[in-house]
Parts: sequence; C-alpha cells; structure tokens
Amino acid sequence: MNDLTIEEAATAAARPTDRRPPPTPTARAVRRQSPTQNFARTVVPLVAAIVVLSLYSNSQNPAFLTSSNWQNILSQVCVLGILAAGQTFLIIGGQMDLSVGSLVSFIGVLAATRLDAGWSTTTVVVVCLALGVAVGLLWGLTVAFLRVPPFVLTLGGLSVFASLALVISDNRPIPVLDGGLTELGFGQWFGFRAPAVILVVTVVVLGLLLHFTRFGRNVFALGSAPRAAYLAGVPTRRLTITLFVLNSTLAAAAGLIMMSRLAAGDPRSGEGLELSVIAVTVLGGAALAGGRGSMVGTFLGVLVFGVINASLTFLQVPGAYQSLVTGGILIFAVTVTAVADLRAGRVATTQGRAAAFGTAVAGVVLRRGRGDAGNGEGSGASSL
Amino acid sequence: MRAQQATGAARWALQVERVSKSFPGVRALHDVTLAVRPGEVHALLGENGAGKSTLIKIVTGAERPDAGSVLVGGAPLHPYSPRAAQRLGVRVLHQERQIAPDLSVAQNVLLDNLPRGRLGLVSQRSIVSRAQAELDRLGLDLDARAPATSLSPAEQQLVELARAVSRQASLVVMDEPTASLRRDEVRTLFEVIGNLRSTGTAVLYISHHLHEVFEIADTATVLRNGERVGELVVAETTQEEIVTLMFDRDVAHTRLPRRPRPAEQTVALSLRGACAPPRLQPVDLDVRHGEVLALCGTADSGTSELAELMAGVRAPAAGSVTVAGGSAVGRRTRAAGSGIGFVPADRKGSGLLLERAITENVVLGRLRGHARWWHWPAAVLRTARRALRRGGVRVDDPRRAVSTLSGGNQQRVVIARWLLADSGVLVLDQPTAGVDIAAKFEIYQQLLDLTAEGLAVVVVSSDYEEICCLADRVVVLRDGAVVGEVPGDGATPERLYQLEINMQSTGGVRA
Repeated sequence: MNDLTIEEAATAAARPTDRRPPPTPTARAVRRQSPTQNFARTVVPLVAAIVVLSLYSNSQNPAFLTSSNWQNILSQVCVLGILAAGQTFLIIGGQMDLSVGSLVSFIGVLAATRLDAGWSTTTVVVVCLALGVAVGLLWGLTVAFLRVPPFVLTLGGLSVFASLALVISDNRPIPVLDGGLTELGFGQWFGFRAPAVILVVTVVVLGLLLHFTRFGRNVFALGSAPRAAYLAGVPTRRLTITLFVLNSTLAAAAGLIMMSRLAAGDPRSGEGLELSVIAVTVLGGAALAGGRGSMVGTFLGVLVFGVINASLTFLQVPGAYQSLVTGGILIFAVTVTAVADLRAGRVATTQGRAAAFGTAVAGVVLRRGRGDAGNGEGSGASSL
Repeated sequence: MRAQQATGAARWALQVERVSKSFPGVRALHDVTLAVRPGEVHALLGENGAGKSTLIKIVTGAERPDAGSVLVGGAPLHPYSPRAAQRLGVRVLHQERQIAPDLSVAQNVLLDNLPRGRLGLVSQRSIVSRAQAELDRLGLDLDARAPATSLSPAEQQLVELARAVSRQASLVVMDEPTASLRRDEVRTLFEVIGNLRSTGTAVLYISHHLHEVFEIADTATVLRNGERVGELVVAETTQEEIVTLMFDRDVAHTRLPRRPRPAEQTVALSLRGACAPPRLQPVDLDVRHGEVLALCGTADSGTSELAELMAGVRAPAAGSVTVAGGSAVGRRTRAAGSGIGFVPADRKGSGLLLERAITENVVLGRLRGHARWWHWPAAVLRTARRALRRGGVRVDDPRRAVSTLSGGNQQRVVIARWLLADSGVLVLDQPTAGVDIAAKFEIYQQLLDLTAEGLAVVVVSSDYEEICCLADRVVVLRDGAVVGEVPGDGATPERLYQLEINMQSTGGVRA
C-alpha cells in the first residue's frame, strides 16, 4: 500500500501545480529558535541591569544590598507589580487596559470614605473587590461582544475613574486613621514587610496560572492568533472577559494596598500609573501585538523600575530624573530587541543592518514586525 | 516612426513566446506560446493546476519566466516587475476586491492616478468629473460621488475595472471576474468587456465557466499540465472539444486503495435544511463514520460555507446540524467539544499559532480526554509527542516554533491536534493547499487510515485529482445548492467539472 502511494506521488510529482505557491524556503532558512531563547533574550539584559545598578549603588552606599533595603524596594513597587502582573495577562492575550491607574485612585478614595463612614473592613474589601469584578465585566463584555478596541474603551475609563475619584474625595486626600487595612501597608508577615510578601506571592501564583495551566496557554493562543484559537475550540469570548475581570480585580486590590500604604485615600495616587505598568510589562518582554511575554520578565521589569528608583535615591539624584532614566531604558530595551528580531529573522546580512536600525523605530511603535509570518523572530541572543 | 510603432503594436497586444517556468519540485509551465490581438477577448482555460495562474503572474510581471519572453504591444516586458507591466499598459482585475471602502467611487476609480491641479492640490470637483466621464465611457450606471461602501460586490468590481482601464490599457487580465457576481451583474460586466473590445483593448479572460467563454471570447488557449494543448477559435469549437482538451482521458487518474469498511455505516453528522445565506441554500446531508466525503464546487458555490456549518464555525440561519449523539452544533467551542475537528483553508492565519511551539499547537483548545486544567510541561511534551507520532509528524524537537516546519508537516500538526482530541468527525478545507506533492499523498494516506478507524472525514477541495484519489462520495455544489452526488470510484475530473459548470453530459464520460 505504501509502495503504491510513493509511486503515485512520484508520477504525480511530474504534474505541475500553479495554484500552489512554491514550498517556502524560509521555513528552513530561518535560524533555529525556541521559546527558551526568546525568554533568555529578554531576561538576561534585565538581570544584568539589576545586578550592575545594585553593585554600583552598593559601592557608593553599602546599605543598598541589605535585606531591609530590598524589602523596601519590593514594597515600593508592590502596587505597580500587581498591576503589571494583571496587565501581562491582558497584553499577552492581545488586549490592554489603561484604566488601572485611575481605578487604583478611585478604589483608594472609595475605601477611605467608606471606612470613614464606619463600614467594617471586611465589607469595604468585599465591596471594592466586587467593584473591580464589575468594571472588568464591563470592559470584557464590551470588548468581546461589541469588538470595541480596548485601548479606546479603557482610555475612556481612565478619565471616568480619575474624575470620580476627585468628585468623591472633593479633591483632597482622605486620611484613614486606623483599621484592619493598615496591616496591608505596614504589617510584618513571616518576618518580612507585608507589601513585599503580597507582591511576591501574587507574582508566583499568577506566574503559575499563566505558564502552567490550560487557562494560561489559552491566553497565549488568543494573543498569537485569535482566529486559530477560536477554530481550535478555545472559548475566546469567555477568555477575553475573564482576562479583564482578573485584571480589574487585581487593580481593585492594588487600590486597597495603595490606600493602606499611604494611610489615606488620595485621588491622585494612581495618576500615570497605567503608563508605568505598560512600560514595565513591555520591558519584561511582552509584545503589544499579543502572544508573547512572561511573568518572570514582567517581574524583572518591575524590579528594574524599583532598583532604578532606589538607586537614584541612594545616589541622591533628584526625583525629577527618575522618569527620564526609566523611559530611556524602555526605549533602549525595545529598540535593541527589535533590531535583534530584524537581524535574526529578515536581514541576516550586514548590508541590511543600517536599514534594520531605521525600521526598528517603526517596529517599536507597532511591534508587528516581529510577528510577521513567524519568521520575524529568531535567535538574536548573540546581539544582546 | 511613430506610425510604424503603432502598426507594429496593432498586430499583437500580447505575445507570450515559448515561456517555461518551474518551481522547486514542480514544472508549472513548459514552452507555452500565446498571442492576443488588440480588441480580442482571449480565454485561458484549464483545470486547477494547469498553469493558468503562473502564466498570468508572468504576464503581469509578478513572476519571471525561466525561459521565453513576453511582449506587450510589441515591446518586451523587461524587467519582470508589476511596474514594468503597468507601464506597458497591462492592467489586472483581481479575484479579490481591492476597494477602499471609506472613499468615494470617484476616488476609487482614480486611486492610483489622482489628477493634480495647480500647487499640486487635488480638486474634488475635477476628480468627480473625470471619474464620471470614465464611468460613462464604459457605460457604467454608477454615481461617482457615492461612497464605495454603498456599492454591491459586483459594482465594486466594476469600479475596479474602471480603475484598471482609466489609463490607456493595451491588455486587461481578468482572473475569474464572475466568481462573485449574480447573473444580471455578469451581463453588465460583459457589456463593459464589449466596450473595451471596441476601443481596441485586448482581454485575457480566465474563467471556470465554459458558457461564459462561448459568450464573450473570440479565441481560447487550453493549458494542461503546464503545456499548451490547444488554441481554438471559439466560434468554431464546441464545449465537448474544449473539455476533451482540458482533461487527458488517456491518463488513468490515481485512486488510493482503501481497506474494506463495515457495510453498515453509522451517521456521524447530519444536516437538515441547514443554510447559510446568501451563499448557501438549505442542505440535507449525512456524513457517515468511516467515509471520506468530498465537497466539490467552484469558489463561489458555497462549499466552504457548508464546511463551516458542519464544523460549527457558523450557526445555520435555519435548519439544524447535529452530531451522532443528537446534540446540535452551533458554536465552534461546542462543536470542538463534541468531537468535530476543523482544519481551515488558511493554515497560517487560522490553523496555527505560527510563532508558538509545536507542542502548544498540538494541545491547543478543548481536548476531550486530555482536558487537564494543569499543564505540566513534561506531561504536555509527552502527550504532544504521542499525538505527533500518531499524526505522522516527523520532528526532532517539538518545542520548536511551528513555523519552522514544512507546509505538509504544519498541516499534520493541525490534524494531530484533532486526533488528540479524539474527534469523530474531521472537516478539512483545502487540506493540501501549499503542500508539496509527496507530502500531499502522505496526508491522503493518513486520512484514509483514519477512516478505517471509523473517523468521518469531510474534505472541501477544488482539486479534482485530489477528490478522485481520496473520496468515497462526492457531493457537488453549484450556486449554493447541492446539484449532484457521485460515488468516489465513479468520479473523474471531467465529470466533476461538467457537474460543476452544469454542462450536459455527452456520454463521453467514463464511469
């Protein structure tokens, strides 16, 4: 039976076929690539940045590499880290949520006024988290069923919640005098500062969810090729909704932590946070086009952010320079990655390198070049 | 001098001289010669895979021939680029719409040739008047000021045609221009072609429908296996003669052997009055376990829609699609859960996560029997390896990105996914498009082996040889309705083609 097929195949091979494109040589020409290599490509430079910065700061001030300073760094990036963890899910799934920053302010203010009004801590926590779920449902349902671009939708949400926070608080921080939530900001759990513990536990749990469950793998599928995921039987709509609910709930929790760390509901506490969140997520290797990213990468991105801020403080650089440095690192990181992608995938020759650098700028903006036909990426570890 | 050139140009609008073209492993064209006079409509005929598309690509400058030359209006096409072809006056009317929906008709007509006034500014008024003049010249009843979205598909196609000939064209290439048109719309198109003819523009016309050829064409070239097997004056020939030329009766088509199946075959999937307007009229159809059912029809016949109904990609507007257990298929998620695998035509965009690892592509989605919530990498790798082995995918490291595989192996990764999911029904849309010939036969063999295990396989194909080689039963669709059913061993490319285009059988058909 087999002989016959081969024979037939051979006779048939003589037949021309014009409808078929010729077998693509690119499939073999592309250098070997693996998710592991991609992962290493984003992680190694981040780790290097953290190590170099830490060592330098430590040489200037030996208090830098101490347990208490690291707990401090983790506590300071706790809110950012939780938001970034949620955003990582969304971005890998090809979505985005810009409303998280102002949701943090809004939830913080709301919780502060409710505590002030004498509600019990439990009630406040439940109400706030439920609100987070509701907001996520709203975004998720709108995106999944009306196909509104999440960028525009949540940009609207950003304004709405920012304004609501100001309205509720009458444009003033509302102090929270006492209550169970102080524990979240200032407690000591297992001998560590509570926000640091919360951040680490959240990242570990969400990392497991993202990388080791069917849910997480489906998120990657949704972001890489929504149509293929749908046709393979992935419930894409339900998944989209779940992603937004997860993210908004995490943002609500982050709002409570922000409030307890400030011991006040500050209507401006989350201002601009959404951009930092997206910055660290992208820094951690997530592609805005979807389908790529990792929780470890995001966590390292958050750490880079935290270490830079701490270093600048230790080195007594004025706070105004902080965004300059983080922004610069972000631009550098994505440009280098894009160049590496282009070189590995499309322009393997030296003559293309100059062009690669030029197009890299566009690649940074769109991040689509890397996903193009699957050969836009490759092993570029050598270039970093 | 000028006059000489003009008379030279007047002799032939297009000359293709001894053109050959090969792709790796495939000889697409061999020593093909063809000539079209100005004002002549020349039909290019041949079944799928005969070399029509390659020839068109060469004439329009999208591909360069390995040997031979192309002359347009007496001038050699050089270099082989779409730009050079355009400069010589070659225009193409593609099968797919290329319309900017948010612009006006006028802007679409003059899309690549906007008139510029003083200061290089574009005047809306001059665009509209010029475009309207263009439309009137072609005898098209369209308002140049209307937005392009308000047009029907056919009108959009006519707008594209107007764009194609808005600058002096010596040759217009039309690739299946009637594929999505209604009969009255076809009439309008033919009138426009008549106008073009009277202005001395030559037309190279590719169509599946022979009656159109007899209605509109002056001459015809028939290709078979990349060679010219006939040049005919349409007025002096018959449909029978053309069909005989298109299909070589002397070559017995290959049909793969199959193991004996149980006489009593149970129904795996049944459609009752299921329809998907506007393309597909109500269909009653049963798919049985252990058979390969082929859906055969031209691109506009509704075969893909029927496959999508079966796979639950779209819900039937009326009627029902039910699986063996009796549960309805309406949504893709549920269909996948109830064991209907789907291999879409667009493998790279809809079948695979191209950037992701092979393992992830195999274990994607709802997998009956492997519905584990927890994805431990080592266990996933083991499961994937097993599925890949069963699916016949040869790969050293399944953690590689799936894009590094060849087309045939990519397709088998998709098939392996559904084997892992324990699917009872496998629906495949153009399963071997872009797959090299050896891999193609391996896929056929694999599908036949699967039916021997009781799987029901539905194949949508526009490749007659594929259908004849593979199918146990062929259902032919025309204009969205089932028009015939042929047992697989009685199917020949010629007979299927005649059914597709509604040509009366002449007794010359071999059983």
